[in-house]
Amino acid sequence: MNRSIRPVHPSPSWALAALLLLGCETTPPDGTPVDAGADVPTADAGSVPPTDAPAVDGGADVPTAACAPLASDYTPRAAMSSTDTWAACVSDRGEYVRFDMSTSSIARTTAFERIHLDAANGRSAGLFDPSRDPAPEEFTAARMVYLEPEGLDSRLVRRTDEHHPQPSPSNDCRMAGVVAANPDYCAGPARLLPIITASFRDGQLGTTGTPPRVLAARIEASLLWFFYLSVYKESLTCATATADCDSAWAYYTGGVQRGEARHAALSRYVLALEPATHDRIWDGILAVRCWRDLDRANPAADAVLRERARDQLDRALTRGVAVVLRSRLRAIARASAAEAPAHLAFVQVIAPLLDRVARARSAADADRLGSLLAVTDPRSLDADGAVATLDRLFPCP
Amino acid sequence: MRARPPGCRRPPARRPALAAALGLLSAGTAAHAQDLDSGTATVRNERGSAEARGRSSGEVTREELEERAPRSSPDALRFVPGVTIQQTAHGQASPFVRGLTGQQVLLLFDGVRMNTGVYRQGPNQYFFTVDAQSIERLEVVRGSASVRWGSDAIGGAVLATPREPTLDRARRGVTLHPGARLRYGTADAELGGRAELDAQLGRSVAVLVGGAYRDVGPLESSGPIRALATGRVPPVPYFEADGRTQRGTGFQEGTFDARAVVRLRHDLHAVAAVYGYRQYDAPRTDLCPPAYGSDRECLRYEEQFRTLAYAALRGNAGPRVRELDVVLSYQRSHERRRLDRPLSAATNGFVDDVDTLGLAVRAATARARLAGTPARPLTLRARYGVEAYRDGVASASWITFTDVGITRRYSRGQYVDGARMLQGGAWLEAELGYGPHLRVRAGARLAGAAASAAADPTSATQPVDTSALAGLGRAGIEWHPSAALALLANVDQGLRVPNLDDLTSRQQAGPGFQFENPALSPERSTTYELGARLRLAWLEVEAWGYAMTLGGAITRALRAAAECPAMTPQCAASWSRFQLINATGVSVVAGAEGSIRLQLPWGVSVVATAAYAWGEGPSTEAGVTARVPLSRRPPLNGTVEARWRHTGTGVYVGAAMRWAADQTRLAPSDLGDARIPLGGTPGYAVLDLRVGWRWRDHLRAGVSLENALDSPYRVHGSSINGPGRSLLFSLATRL
Repeated sequence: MNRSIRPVHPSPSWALAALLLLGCETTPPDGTPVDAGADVPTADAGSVPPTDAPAVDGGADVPTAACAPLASDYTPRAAMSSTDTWAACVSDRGEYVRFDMSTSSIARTTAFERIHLDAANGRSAGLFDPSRDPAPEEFTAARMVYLEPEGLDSRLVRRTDEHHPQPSPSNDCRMAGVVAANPDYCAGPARLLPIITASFRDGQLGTTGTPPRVLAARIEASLLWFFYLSVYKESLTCATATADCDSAWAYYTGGVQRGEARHAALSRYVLALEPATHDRIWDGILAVRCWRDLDRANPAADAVLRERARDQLDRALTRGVAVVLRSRLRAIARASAAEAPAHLAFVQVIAPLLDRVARARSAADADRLGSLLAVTDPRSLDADGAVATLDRLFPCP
Repeated sequence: MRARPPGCRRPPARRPALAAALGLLSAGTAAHAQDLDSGTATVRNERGSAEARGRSSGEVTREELEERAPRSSPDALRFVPGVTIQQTAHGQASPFVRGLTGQQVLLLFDGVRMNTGVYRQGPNQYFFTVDAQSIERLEVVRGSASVRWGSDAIGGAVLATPREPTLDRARRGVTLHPGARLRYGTADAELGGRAELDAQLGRSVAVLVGGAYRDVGPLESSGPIRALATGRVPPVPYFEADGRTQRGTGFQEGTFDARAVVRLRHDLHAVAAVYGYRQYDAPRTDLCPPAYGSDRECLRYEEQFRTLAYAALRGNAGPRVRELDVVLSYQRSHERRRLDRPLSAATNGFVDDVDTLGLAVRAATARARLAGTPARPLTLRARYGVEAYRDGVASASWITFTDVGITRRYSRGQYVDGARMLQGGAWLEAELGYGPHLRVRAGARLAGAAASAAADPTSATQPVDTSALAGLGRAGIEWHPSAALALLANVDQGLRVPNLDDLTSRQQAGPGFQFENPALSPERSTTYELGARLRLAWLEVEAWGYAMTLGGAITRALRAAAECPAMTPQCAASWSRFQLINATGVSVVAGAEGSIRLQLPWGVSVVATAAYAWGEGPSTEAGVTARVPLSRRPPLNGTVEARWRHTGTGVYVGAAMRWAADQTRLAPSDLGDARIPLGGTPGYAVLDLRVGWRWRDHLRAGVSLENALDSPYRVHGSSINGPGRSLLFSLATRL
């Protein structure tokens, strides 16, 4: 059976089926009736207090110390790159040197954090806190952030997955026809946008039966997927617009250096879970910057060096996503009955992101992972099996 | 000041300038006829009104409007030298005068200021709200002219003069002249018409009422142009599958007007008028869809309304108060925009209303003879005036989630709700004449402005409470060494006080996000110009050279994300951020414009124009000392227009070519403007052919073949390409 990891499209029928299986069609797990007008979120008794760390189980349990960089990798943290094969470049000091002091992508990672923290309402944990069900008004507030002009939505609706070949004759994912014909390449509008739009809608309505935290988890996973795609996409288009290297850095880190606090978006998750993987992603970010320093032509001329850098970055980044995924798998087992579906929803949205790489490494494991995750009840999930499969597929950054 | 009484039409059979030239030839040195109104000597070999006397100016007459069949009032100015028409949308157009536009060009309708306190930096759509069918004459005064007209007349002023009802002293009783016009264009399936009634009631009252409607579809061009730097098709506009039709075009438009004139005395009239413009569903082409957004996203002007009502007293109020013009006006500008984001199930809404009350009083003295002989009198005439305009702004914005029907309002709109602006001034101009050969003009204005807006803590908007007072002047000399030749020199100052757009607006402009600067000071210009006019029976030549300095220019400065106002995430999220600042150095615009008009035998006439504006200013980038080109300057451009007319039958045939060179001199802010292709806008040459027939004043039928060679073209800075090869039919009747 070739059962790949498919994206979850939260259609009403799917949601209904899931809810029927979960036995929580009309009320949230804590018994509080869903009130579309309520603006006070409910919390699960005994759940972990909200923090600004990702909702995870506290880190990976697979050591990555045995992992070593490839011979072609750029390793600025090792004697300032003096031991690798890369020529000296601006990244050797281990800091990201920006092309432009203003990087608009930072604002989009900030928007993600604003949704996460809901600082506007004085909460320390916002929409993505799986320990409680956000109120409809919280979805509305978060959606306003998501839809800010030039914000997350503005880029997500046209985000491409450059892992896939550019379609011909047109690769313009602004066009509905191109999107429909190339859903893998036009991943933003084809894969992510339907999940996000439906989840916000159902969350705002508050009457669809799907637990609000499940909807929020889908939004969270979709946005992390967006950041992952964005890092890779910007590292490609940096060949013609150097500021896009800054965007690649910003979409991962939120616009900070490796050792700084206040990492945002994807880096906040990875750093909290597996610092070694975070460091390897950082090396990849610097590798891309190093390539553009060594290849200053416009457009860039050294495609070989570019792909070396991007491969390094993508390998580490994929591991980073796997780390986030496995942490949610681990969390399912320890979560309350109300919280577990949110983790499962997160996993089921983001898992398809890894299917392409997984399948390239082991079709059998990719199928196995797909099968393991294709459950509707978190209690029936073989989390250990899924984690083990993940670790086989993505052992090193 | 207009001294022409209502209903005083120009002779239809001959062009005014030609008539003047013929008159010059026949009269020789007696060309300086008597001004019948004032009884004093006046130089008559002028096209245009007294408003532009001695200035570099251009004019479009009613007859030209009818034969050229322009798509809009801005479009009617395409053949005026020194004027280019930029279009951000099909239903919007902005005249550039000597390379400046928007806030830096003053628009006047029948002497009433159209510019409100929210006219924005760069091109705007507001002159499009003047119905060309209600216009008798358009005039463009090039160069700074704030002494006469006040703030905003930096690059020049555009004067629209409406049609008057027929008021014939010899008539009694009720006289009715109903009229109708129809128009159809194939390029955008434009179909529209106007019905009007020109009525005289008794000997002293006349009324002209009319209403028009047109439905304009998507505009078909000749296909895309290519970016000069890359040879690729620019992202704006978005073409449909046929490769010619431009998405984000088309609109509906309705207009109405009513003008009543009451003759109080033979040379004094009371006027009451109302002009309304209603435009619906006009997409902004560069944002429908946006260059880098979904093809289903669209910003459209759901409603672009303007209503102008005024009452005026005009004429001579005695021997000492000539050309009196007292106008009390009210103008309401209403703009409702909607940004559709169907993929995301959201729409953003915006509404901005401006109510403007105005009072303007202008008058002139009779020409006084100070000394000299009857043949060479030394005369003096003064013109003077005061005016004040007060703007009140209402502004709001909101978002609607269309899939759940929830709407949330933002704390502020594009402008600060409740913002106020008051501006005005007093001015005096004097003209000293020595015989028929010399005129010396000088003038001064004291201008003032004040603006206020409340703070909005939610959006970190700072309060505005600012005022400015400035004095400015002008001087000019006009020398006629012969009856046919005039040499002119002028020095004119211009002023633009920062308006509510500068002081309070936050908006996604073409080049990026622009945010307010409550600490702006006025920008001031000085235009130095030299001109020569030669008018013979068969030849008219006019040429002007100019240089304009602009001190403290209010211009866009790139800002870092860290400099964005707090609580404004879209600022940091934008690719580019701008704030308006007063440039620290002097900007310069220099150029030349000219025209040649040949009257050939057998009723053939040829007119050619050319203009060029070069501009550069200090860089607003920190640490950069090199000067940079000014934004959106038009390239070298011009027109050639030939016409044959048979006076016996009323048949006319014409051909016109508009051309422009490449524009590769781009300002830093132009580089991020999706409307400007990478490397600049390619040049073009477009040929139009016209044929028509006019039967007295009763029937006129015309057909234009636009862009006969089907050349893809775009006016620099525009979002849309010009129409492709297409036909435009027009029919007008009047009983």
